[in-house]
Amino acid sequence: MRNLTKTIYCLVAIVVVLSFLVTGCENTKKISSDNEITITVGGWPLQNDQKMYPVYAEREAKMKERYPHITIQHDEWSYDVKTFLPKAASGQLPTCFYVPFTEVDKLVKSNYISDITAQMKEYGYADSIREDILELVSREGKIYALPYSAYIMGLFGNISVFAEAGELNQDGYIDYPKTFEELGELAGRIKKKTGKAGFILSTMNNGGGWQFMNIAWAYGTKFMKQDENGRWIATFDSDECAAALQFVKDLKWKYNALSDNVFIDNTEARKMYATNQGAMMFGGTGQEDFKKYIRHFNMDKDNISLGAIPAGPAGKFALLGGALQVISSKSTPEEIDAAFKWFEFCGYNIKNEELTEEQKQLREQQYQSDVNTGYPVGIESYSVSKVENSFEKELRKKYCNIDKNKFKEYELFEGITVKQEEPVNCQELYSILDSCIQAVLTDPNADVREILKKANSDFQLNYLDKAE
Amino acid sequence: MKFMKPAVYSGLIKPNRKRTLFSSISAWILILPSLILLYMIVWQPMILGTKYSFYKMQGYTPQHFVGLNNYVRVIQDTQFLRTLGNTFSYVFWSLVIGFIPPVLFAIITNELIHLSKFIKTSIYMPCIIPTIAVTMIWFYMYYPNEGGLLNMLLSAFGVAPQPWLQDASKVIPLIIITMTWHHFGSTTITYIACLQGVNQELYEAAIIDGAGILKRVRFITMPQIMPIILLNLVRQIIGIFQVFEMPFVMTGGGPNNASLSLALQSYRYAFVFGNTESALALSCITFIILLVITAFYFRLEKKLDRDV
Repeated sequence: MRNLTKTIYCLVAIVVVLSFLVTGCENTKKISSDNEITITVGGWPLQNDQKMYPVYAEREAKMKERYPHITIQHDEWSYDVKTFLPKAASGQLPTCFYVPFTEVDKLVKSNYISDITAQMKEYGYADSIREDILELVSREGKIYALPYSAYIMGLFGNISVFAEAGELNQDGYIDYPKTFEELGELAGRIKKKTGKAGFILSTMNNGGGWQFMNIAWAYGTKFMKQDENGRWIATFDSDECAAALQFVKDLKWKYNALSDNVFIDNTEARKMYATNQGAMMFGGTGQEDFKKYIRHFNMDKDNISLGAIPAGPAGKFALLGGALQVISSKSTPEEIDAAFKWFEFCGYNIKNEELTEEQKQLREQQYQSDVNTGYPVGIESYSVSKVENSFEKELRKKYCNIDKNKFKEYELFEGITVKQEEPVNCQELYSILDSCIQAVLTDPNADVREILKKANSDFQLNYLDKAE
Repeated sequence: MKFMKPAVYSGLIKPNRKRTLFSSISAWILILPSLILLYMIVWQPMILGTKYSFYKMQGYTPQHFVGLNNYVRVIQDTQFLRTLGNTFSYVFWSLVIGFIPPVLFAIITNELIHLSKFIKTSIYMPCIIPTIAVTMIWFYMYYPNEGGLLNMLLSAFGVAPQPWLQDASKVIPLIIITMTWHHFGSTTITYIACLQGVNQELYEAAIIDGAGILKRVRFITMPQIMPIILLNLVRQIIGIFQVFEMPFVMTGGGPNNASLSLALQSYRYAFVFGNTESALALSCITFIILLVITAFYFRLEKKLDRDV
């Protein structure tokens, strides 16, 4: 009898535990009725973000009024390389979320984002987007992402560090270097006078490769080519790339312009720039990039100045970047359509069509919120659309809170060849270039040609020969 | 006094297998939830990971069976041998720097009459600091300019600032010093606990026989704590073989891949390049190497048991 009671207790215990397990594993995705559509929007502001949360909440409420059958769920998660794969593998990706331009290839290959060609055509976006940007988000004729904002990389200058070094001109602005040699000399002078890095160069987590592209292209480097059989050949074991890498080496050993610490990724580089530990840096110039300096490091927006990337023997080149909206591959066509409605409702308009009053109001709210938060507003960006929306221009002018002279050089976009990322295994290439940069920055006797020869061979053997 | 084994266990009476299974059914039922959890959290990922390492993957979704292709690809990677060499270098330096000192320190602390509690608490302190904080503390200690703590100390003796982590030949031993500082306390405490379990009468008898401290350590202490030393040896090798956080945060595997470990390379494959199949194949290779080391440990332990 006692044994039986014990067994019953055990069975009850096991049923309870199993029920916890089963309910714990239950898919939490709500099943909508025929007309009801639920989408999850990623990158939703946190509740304690008193500036942005109310803006999003209002958008959501108004969207519900307009489209009562669409329900928006919030997800504060934003794209991050470390968390993306586990989130995607567990089927927890939001319906739509932002990613940087650099990630498209990886996301398409892993089949975690939807083909949105039909919707892009239906909403008239495909014909309105600039060719170079559309190409960037397309693979084999299919469009995989909605370009939200774009930028070309620029040369950031920190007004405070320049002032400390006595390198501002008589009007209090930065005279940006026109060539890489001038950049090296100026950066070296600043370091000598202030002890702070004259130039902040990323060297790890693919940041070094990403920044180096702008230098290498300016020196005439071709990283890869496709032969007549369609096979990719690495071509950066060249005099041009050697000259570019030699410039990086000179930044350290000839001009003494860099930070003593060689291990710098993009986050650290941003921190150094924003906290007045460095004078100049190549960086992304999207609105989100500017916000990061202020939100994460409390930088004074008036300390930010922006120039163009200097010219090399082959000219001026700048890498194209920006933010994209992608849609999870688990989404149904109805959910994709609802996500597009959300984008449109938030004021996404690249067709230069007149916005509705509601959309205008929401766009204006965004600008007001940015100004109130202390973000710089009014910087000209590289337009996603062939013809930029006039209302957006008006808002930029109306809410401009920056001294435009500090951005004059960048906004000219003069003589710059805008380049897309390299077409194959770009992240792997950045990683290999990181190693090359570290090698020349840690050894004054490093043989640039030998390093490039090995890097070129590694890239060919490990990646291009295996590219599909 | 020798305990007699029950007849059923000594093989005189054959146990009724059916009855034994039935009588332990409630134990099995109790253990079932843990087994299910163990399956879900440990075994299933391991089995699936191994299975998928033979597949072409799209994200985490297997596409088609490719045999050993992923393994060939990983082994043919020009960084593979270097990464494997680096990982063994981590193990080597961890044994040189981090294996013997805790044993010696535990023996010395165990002999102390005064301040032993204070010392035990002090050496355990670093263990309660989160790894990321330890990494950052040491990163700034190794900072390569005059502001780095170690360089400040050296400058007091007129020595020029050293590049520390930026020196490819020193980066691994320096990371190991950080790891040793972090884990030294917990290993030492394990040895002290083991030492306190050694029968004191053995020492008293040895002292009566005229054995000095070295002989007591050699003939009493060491044989008594040898199993725990061996266990820690294997645990240390297994732990260091999977070294990830510290090189990831301190150097990102640099300079020029000089501190790139197998685990860090596996992370890069999966999360940076989105190449899940290579990450899985490399993890399986690491697993196989560790399996061989563990098998070697069990054989060694068996041999020691026999010898004792």
